Amino acid sequence: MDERDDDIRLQALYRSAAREAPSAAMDSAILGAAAAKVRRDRVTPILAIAAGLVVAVLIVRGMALPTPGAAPQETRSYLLALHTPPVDAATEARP
Amino acid sequence: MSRPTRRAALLLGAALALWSVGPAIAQDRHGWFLSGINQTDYIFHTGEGGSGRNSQRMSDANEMRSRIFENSVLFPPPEGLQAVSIRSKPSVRPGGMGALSRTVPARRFLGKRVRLSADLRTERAGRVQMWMKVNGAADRVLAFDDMQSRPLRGSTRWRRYSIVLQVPANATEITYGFLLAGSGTAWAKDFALNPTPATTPLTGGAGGSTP
Repeated sequence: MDERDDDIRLQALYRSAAREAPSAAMDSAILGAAAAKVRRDRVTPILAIAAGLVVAVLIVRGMALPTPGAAPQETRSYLLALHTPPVDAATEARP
Repeated sequence: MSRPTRRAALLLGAALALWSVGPAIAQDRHGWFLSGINQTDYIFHTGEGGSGRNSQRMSDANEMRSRIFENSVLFPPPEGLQAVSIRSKPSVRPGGMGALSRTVPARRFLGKRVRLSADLRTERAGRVQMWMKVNGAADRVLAFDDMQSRPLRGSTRWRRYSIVLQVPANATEITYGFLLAGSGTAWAKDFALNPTPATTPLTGGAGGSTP
C-alpha cells in the first residue's frame, strides 16, 4: 500500500515538473538575455573608451600615417639628373 | 686659478668649440653630400650617436678609423659604431625626398662588375632606397640602379642590401648613397664597393633596376 502511494506521489511530481519546465526554461532564457544586454551595455562604452585611448596614444607618439614622399619615378628622374660635386683632392686620394 | 675654476673654463671652451662646428653640414670630409626634393625638410648626421651639432666631429672620428682594403672602400669602419642617417623634420611636406650620396673615381673598377653593399635600417619611413650610378664623360649615365622595385618601407632592422652594376671602360665616376622619401628616419653603415665575378647577376642597367 505504501509503495503504491509513493508511486502515485512520484507520478504527480513528474507531471508537475513537466508542466513547469517550459515556464522555467522561458524564465531562464529571459534572464539570460537580460544579463547579456546588461553586459553589452557595460562593455560597449568601455571598448569605445579603450579604442579612443589607443588612437590618442598613436597620435601623440606620432605614429600616424607617414607623410608621403616623392613618387618613385620622380625620385629616379632626380637621381639620374643629379650633378654630383667634383671629386676633390681628398676624395681622389681615397680608392 | 683654482682647480674648479680651471675645470669650468675648460668645459666652457669645449662647449664653445662644439657649438662653433655648427649644425648639419652640406658635405662632410668623406664627400657625403645632401641633396633632394624639399631637402630643407631633412637633416642628416654622419654619426648615429651624434646630434647635428657634433656630426662633423663624429665624421672626423670616422675618417681616422676608416679602413681601406685592396680594391674596396669600406666606410664607416667595420665596427659599425657609426652610421650616416637621414631624418625628416616634423614639418616635412608631402612629396619630398632627402638623399645622402658620395662620389668616387671609377678608374679602379673600369671594365669590372661592381657590388655596392651597405647595412640599412629604417624607422617609420615612407620609402628608403639605396642607389648607385655610373657616370661617363659629360655626366652621361652608363649604369644605374635605385632599388625602385625593392624599397624599404616602415620600420626595419639592420640588414645588408646590394646593388650590382657593370662599370664600362669609359666610366669616369661612381655615385652611390641612399635616400628617404617622405617622413621617417633611415640609417646606413658599412658601405662597401667591391669588384664581383662577371657571373654575378646585375641588378640594374643603363635605365635603372632590372625587374
